[in-house]
Amino acid sequence: MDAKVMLVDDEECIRETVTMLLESEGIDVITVAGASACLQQLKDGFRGVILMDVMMPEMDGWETIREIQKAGLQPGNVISMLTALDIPDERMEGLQETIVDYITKPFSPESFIEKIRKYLVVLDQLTGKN
Amino acid sequence: MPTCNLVMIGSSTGGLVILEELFPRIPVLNAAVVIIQHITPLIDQSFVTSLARVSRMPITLAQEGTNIQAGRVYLAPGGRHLTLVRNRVIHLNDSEKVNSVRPSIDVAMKSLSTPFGAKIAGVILTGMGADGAAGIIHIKQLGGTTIAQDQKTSIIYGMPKAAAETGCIDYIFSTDRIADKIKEMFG
Amino acid sequence: MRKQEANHISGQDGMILPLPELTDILTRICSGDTAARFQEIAEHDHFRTVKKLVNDLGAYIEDTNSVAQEMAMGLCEHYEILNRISQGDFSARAAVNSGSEIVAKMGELINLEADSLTAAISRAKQAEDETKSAYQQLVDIVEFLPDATLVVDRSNKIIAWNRAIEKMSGIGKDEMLGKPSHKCSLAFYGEERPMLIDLLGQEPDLMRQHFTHFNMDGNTLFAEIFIPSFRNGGNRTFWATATPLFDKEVNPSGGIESIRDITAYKRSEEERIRLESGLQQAKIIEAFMMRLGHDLRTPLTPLTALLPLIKERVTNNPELERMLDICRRSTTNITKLIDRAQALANLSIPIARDSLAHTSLSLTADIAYSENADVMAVKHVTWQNDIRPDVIVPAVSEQLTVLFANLITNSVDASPPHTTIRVTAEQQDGTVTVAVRDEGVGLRTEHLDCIFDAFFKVDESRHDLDAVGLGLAICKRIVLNHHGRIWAESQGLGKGAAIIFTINQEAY
Repeated sequence: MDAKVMLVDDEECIRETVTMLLESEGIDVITVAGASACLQQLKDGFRGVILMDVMMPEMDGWETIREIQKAGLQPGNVISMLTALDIPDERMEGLQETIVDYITKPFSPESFIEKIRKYLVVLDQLTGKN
Repeated sequence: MPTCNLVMIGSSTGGLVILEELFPRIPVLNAAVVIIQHITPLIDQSFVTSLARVSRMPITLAQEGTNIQAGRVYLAPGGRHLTLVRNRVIHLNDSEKVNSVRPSIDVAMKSLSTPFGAKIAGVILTGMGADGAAGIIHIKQLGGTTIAQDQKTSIIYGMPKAAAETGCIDYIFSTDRIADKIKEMFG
Repeated sequence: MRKQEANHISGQDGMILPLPELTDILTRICSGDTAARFQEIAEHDHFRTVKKLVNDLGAYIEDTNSVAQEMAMGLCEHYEILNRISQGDFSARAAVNSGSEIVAKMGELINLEADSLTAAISRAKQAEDETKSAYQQLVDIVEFLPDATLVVDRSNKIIAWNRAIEKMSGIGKDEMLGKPSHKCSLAFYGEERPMLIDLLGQEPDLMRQHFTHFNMDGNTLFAEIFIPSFRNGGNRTFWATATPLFDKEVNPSGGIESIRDITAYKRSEEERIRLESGLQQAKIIEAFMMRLGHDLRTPLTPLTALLPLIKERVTNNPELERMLDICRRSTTNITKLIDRAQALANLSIPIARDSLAHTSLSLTADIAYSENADVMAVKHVTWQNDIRPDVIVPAVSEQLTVLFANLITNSVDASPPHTTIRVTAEQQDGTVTVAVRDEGVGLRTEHLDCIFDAFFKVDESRHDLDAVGLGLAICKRIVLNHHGRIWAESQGLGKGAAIIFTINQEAY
């Protein structure tokens, strides 16, 4: 399976929902419950749209993104937040260039899928360029 | 050579989606459009290609020394500040981040000078923080038109709010009405 | 011979004195003729020495007598003056121009004495005056002390009862002076009990049982006393301090007590504590709502995301489709409810001064309108903004936008097609009164006040899931945050309604 979307979220119901939603649209998705599994997936070669929860027990979303940057695993990926926090806090400062979107839960399935498709198009251009 | 009309758009988190909603609604303008999107160099070119598919005007990544032309769209490349020399020639530089971002909307907008015989407009779209607020004040002082995206259609109502709070914003509009206003001014 | 012997005294050389002559002269001297002398004492006279001695004695007596006479004369001369001085007339002065040197000298002496006496008396009088005025000053200070004050002597009798305590207790000093201090407890407590001043020098434990709060610092006592229905009025709280007084020899000489009515201070203090705990509570509620909102959004996500998917897959089953529709609408409303409850919780935090910005009312109203523009266009409801663009108010512009947006949404809901929503603003005395008027269904008089309560819905029979019922509560919160007022006006059902609010133009 050549997954193009990775969801990082500690809530199982969200992981299942996003999986069902995207797979019903024919988009392959992998889900992980936290930062370490996410980093492992990236090291194993995942490239695509990363949907990142903010409040997670192991390491929060902002920190996870900084870890991704530090490990040099950002190229080839587009990162968007997917969170129940309706307003981002100052911890996002300095990550504006990296985080392309801020999707809040609950979201409408149509606009969610539309966004994912748009980012997949951007990523397609990237692979096309390579 | 007289300077052409200019629309400068500042945008951050959520901007990729908003710009792709905005541009299909904008016809070929009697103005050059410069977009300052907070973006990494990793995907700036891909985004240009992606946006080009929905834009009626040709769109390119801004290049050093380019004379901007009406009816064309220029996206500031990721990781570099963009300024306009005499409101016309693109200059890119790698100086310090401003408002913890590069490119910075403030840096680009504040590089503008009084447009003789030309109209300018500054637009602030969705995004976290306050980049662009100082730029909006500058554009207003130059006699330009200023527009901020409304809270409802903003993904993050941070930068538009900061811009609105300067008191120098002429219009607070939804994405659609921003397109209408630009069309009305330069269509 | 005895007689002869009596007439002659034997001299050293056996010569006999001429006794009759000697007797005669001495007799004359003794009888006052102090000038009597032996005349012409011959060189060879055997009694020459005796005669000279008698003459010397005579001269001496004559001298002394004349001085005594002069002094007596002086006494007589100065008698009247001395008498006047001794009677207390210190202005009397003796004559010093007598022909007699001694009399004149006596006059001078008398005058010197009279002068120093006068000076001493005037010094004593001045000292007495000073003491008197210092005492009066002290009495005045006590009298006019702003705090109710009483002073007792060593036997606990009241010796000062100032104006403030007269006013506080309603009892005049004529009634209290000289009374034992515990008598004044009647005025304060309505019963006889020890005042703080009565407890000076007592065991602290004894004092504690008498007062709400008690404290001491050295000899000085401090106490707080709560008195229910003070002088048949309301509850009062007093603060009293008492300290013992000592004389120069550090012997106890009494005590002084001051009493202050701190009821108003206590009330404002309680109010402050209440507000503070209210603020604390608001913060807790906000944090709780944020957390609750966050936690509800997560389980809402599958519902919002998956219900449309289910609906897509249901075909030819109108009943099931209808059920799904209900579920979707419920889900949407739960989301709206969370949004608004969070907004309300956010708004319950008072506005910090520095977050106020000069905000254009007209522009803000237009921004709020643009959020409703689509719905209004569909309903053919016209927007008329009559606010002058130069009306600027200090406000949190975001909150003001929400306020207008909610008011407009409300009016749009109430408006039939082809009507107008009109917004106006009037400035008067630093206050702007803003009105949002519609030509819609109007309001019943009895609903005018309660429409601003959270979760109030005008039509209780209409369990409309789309109406959340927090919109006007949010409006009220925003107006209160800006120290304004909000109310509704309507001529009745079918006659349109206006929501009116005020906002200060001066920053607070």
